[in-house]
Amino acid sequence: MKTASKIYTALLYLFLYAPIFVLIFFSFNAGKSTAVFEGFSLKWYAEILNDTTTLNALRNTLILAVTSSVIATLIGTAAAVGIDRMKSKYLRSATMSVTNIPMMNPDIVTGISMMLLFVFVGTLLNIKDTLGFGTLLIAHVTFNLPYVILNVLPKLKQTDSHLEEAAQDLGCTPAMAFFKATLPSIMPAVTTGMIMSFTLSLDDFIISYFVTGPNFQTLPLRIYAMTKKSVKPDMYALSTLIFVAILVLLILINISQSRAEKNKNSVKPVSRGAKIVKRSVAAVLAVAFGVCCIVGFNGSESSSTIPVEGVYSRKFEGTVLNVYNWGEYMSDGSDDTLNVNEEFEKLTGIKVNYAEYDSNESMYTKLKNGGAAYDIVIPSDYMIQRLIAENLVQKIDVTSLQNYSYIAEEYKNLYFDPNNEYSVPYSVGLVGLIYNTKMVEGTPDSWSVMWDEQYKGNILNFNNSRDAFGVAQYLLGQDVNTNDVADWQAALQKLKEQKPLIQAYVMDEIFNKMEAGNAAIAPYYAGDFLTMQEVNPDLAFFYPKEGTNIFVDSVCVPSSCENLEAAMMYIDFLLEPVVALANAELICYASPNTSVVNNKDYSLRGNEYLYPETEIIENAQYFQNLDPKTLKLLNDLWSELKLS
Amino acid sequence: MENNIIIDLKNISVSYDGEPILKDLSLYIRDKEFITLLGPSGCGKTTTLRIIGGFTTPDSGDVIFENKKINGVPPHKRQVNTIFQRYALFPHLNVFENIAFGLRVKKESKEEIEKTVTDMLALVNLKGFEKRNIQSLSGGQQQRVAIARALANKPRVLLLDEPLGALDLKLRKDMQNELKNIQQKLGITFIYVTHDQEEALSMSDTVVVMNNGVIQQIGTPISIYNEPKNAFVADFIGESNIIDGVMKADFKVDFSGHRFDCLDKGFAPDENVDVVVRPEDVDVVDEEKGMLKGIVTSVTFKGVHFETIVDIGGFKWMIQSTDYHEVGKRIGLYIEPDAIHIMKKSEYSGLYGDYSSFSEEFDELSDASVDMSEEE
Repeated sequence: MKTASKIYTALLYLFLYAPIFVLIFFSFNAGKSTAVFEGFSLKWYAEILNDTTTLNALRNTLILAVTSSVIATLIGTAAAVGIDRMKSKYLRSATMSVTNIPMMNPDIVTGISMMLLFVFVGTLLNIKDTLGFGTLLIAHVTFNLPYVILNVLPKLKQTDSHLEEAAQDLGCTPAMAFFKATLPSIMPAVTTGMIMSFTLSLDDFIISYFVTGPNFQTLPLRIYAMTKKSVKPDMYALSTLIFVAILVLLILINISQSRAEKNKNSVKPVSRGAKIVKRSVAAVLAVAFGVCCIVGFNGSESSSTIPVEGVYSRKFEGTVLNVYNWGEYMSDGSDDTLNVNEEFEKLTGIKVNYAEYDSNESMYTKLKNGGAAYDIVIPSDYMIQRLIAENLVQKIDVTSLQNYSYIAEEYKNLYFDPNNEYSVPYSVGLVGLIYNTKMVEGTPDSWSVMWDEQYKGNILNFNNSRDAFGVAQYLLGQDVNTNDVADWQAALQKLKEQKPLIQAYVMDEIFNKMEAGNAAIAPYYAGDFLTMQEVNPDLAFFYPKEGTNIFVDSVCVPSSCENLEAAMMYIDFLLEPVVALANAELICYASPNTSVVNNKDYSLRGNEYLYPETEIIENAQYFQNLDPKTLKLLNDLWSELKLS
Repeated sequence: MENNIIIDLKNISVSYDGEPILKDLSLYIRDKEFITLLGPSGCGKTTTLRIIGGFTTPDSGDVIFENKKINGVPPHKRQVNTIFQRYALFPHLNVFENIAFGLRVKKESKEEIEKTVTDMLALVNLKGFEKRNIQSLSGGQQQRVAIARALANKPRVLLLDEPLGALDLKLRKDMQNELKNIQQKLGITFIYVTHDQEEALSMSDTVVVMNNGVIQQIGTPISIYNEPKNAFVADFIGESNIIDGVMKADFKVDFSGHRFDCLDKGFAPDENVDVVVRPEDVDVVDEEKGMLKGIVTSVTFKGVHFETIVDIGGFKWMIQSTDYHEVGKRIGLYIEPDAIHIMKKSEYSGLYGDYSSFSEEFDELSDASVDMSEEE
């Protein structure tokens, strides 16, 4: 029995901590992969310290966590004292139930309802930018409150109700009595409540996601937004640092508690344990604020050094531009690259609030719901079509842009914006097939290789309906935007045939599986293939002859933008050769900007995968918005495939 | 005598949630007196103490402290200190700091605090305990710290709310003596609340017996015991056989079908009265020699004596004697005139003093339940 329980405990700890140790392990990886360890290195730690965007997000997170936990602790403790003194049992239990609602509620409900409230009040008071630090703070205090109350209330119940009377009896006014007698005896619970709020606030994503605006991005939001391009390894370094910090805090608290416990039975003074807790909490808060300050000072003002000329004036100095972009989709100064937003700020004096999203759909939700006024967004083709249809983006005059001429002709007059009235192309990507040359014989040239029996169990396919069906549709020679039921049924049959051969339907894991050689064939974007090939040189890539999917992400100006001229200045800046180059290098997708394509310094210049022959591009198909009926059909068929 | 009065409660009434707790209570307390408020749980004794301490404001009536009305004066401005049930020591402070608490609030000098605390620790026999944590002390030691903490403020009046309730019997006896000694040494007024009649009798100068928010009797321990005013007091203080009687004339009383000589007078002829006979005052004699005759129904050994229940014409008497009489034996009882105490009929007549339903266990159970309701 004893060994069994020991094994059980060991397994329990293994499952609890294995993920963290893997994370720590790979934070010291010299390479980018999470599958292959390429040697020990501290480079991700160095990188994280230079990554101003992430440090800014960290600073925001810490400011939010500290302020919200302190406020929640003050209000919560006062509330607990009030509830404890309620005479009516019914009133007390009613109050407790109301208090507990934010805790019982699913986060997503709390998040959405708070967002609606904030937007509603914002509209009522005619505030343009409702969502931001203020709303985040209110939301965090709200969901932290019940935890503080639930910590403090039982402790209050435990303490002798005569304590406060005793203090008054000994000469204290009622207020003094509370601070000198009651508060010290409930202090451990108050501290626990505060630490709990701090950590809850630190890692909250869902509620923050709904109530934040363009000017305040927290760390969890930033990490989540990275899913388009896979999480950067410097996040492992950051997570490791946070884990170690919390571990140290916990150890300090435990030590002090065990000392306090010992003191109970010894002649040593009591207060020492409590002092250590106080000191360690104070130390953590001090470090948190220290980090905030250091990061705060990082953005020092100096004049711009990049070679641009023309339209940039300082006439909008002091105004704010809210930019909403994909995660990891703009050069931010890490690794000695160009910090695009900082340079723009230096040049024009306009303050750029930069926030990130993880999908077209979540960006759409933010624009649709209001409460935050964005000035620049960079959605994908089909989403732009939808935004135009719903009047969520405004017309812009591309001819007024001095750098619009850099846009390659083939990316003008695209289907979603045939007259170039709404969008300026930013980044282009194509799906192809990645394969491992050690596992696949010869040089395949067709999607049919994904139906080849000999690679059974080594084939990966997309884990989203549109892309997965696309693979079958190309092979069948269909239009990917068809609304013919028979076409979709045929594609489903094809995918059902393929299913026994499939190892898994995946998205981000494609990186790991292909880098580690755990799968032979997978469809993905050319730019991402280059990242994988760096780790695993055995990988190769081709564009299937039947055609493939192409996407274009373009810069648009939402209808909520009131300073179109400043927004246009920003778009012009993004088109600047030096800026566009920095972005193209970081994003690692193809650039529609001819100044980049022709630049001798461009490391990916003429790359055969990013910039294939025009024939392949012309043969590729865009995903367009499907009509609701077809969309439902697709969802049904996708479920059918997954369940078959 | 009048100017000797330190606290005067005048016509105090208090009710709580519409439930009257104190009904028109008047009581004066002399300086340097050890006065005990005695009564069962819920009788209003703690409320009376809280009114003096300032924690409860009376609905009507006046609280006079040295000829000054102090009805609305908050606790921290009163020259009284309290020792609470379960002590209410500050768990986050050590022994020294607990005792120094009141002095620090008053911003006394460091030397003064040091000296007072040392004196107080000596007074309660806790020298060398300065740095000890409260939780590491025994109940008796905590009790001493609570006493020292209250006395460090040099109060004019010390209020003690069942201070010994949580201690075991032996320790309680020791502490009773110690408290009495401290009171005499310091010469301050003690107002002591307890439901333990023995504690009240052994420590107090004056005992105030309370029930249902009304004072039943005020007097010295001896007068309260020997001359209870009504059946409640007679029953609550010690054991009593309380029998219906008729006063035939001065010094003549009829009860249990026999005429007794007694020492009481001043009743109307043939007035119905309650007759009190303490169990230890009854002599057991042979059946034929007894004034009253009965049969033993139960015997309990109590150490010092046997507790014998005797059935006399359907009324169960309790008798305490050092002789053993087995169950079923017929015996006679002999009662001296000075063992008989006559009381006027009261609302409590007929409620107490019959041992026919006597069960100690039952008594304790009902006591415990009342105790708990008071704690809320």
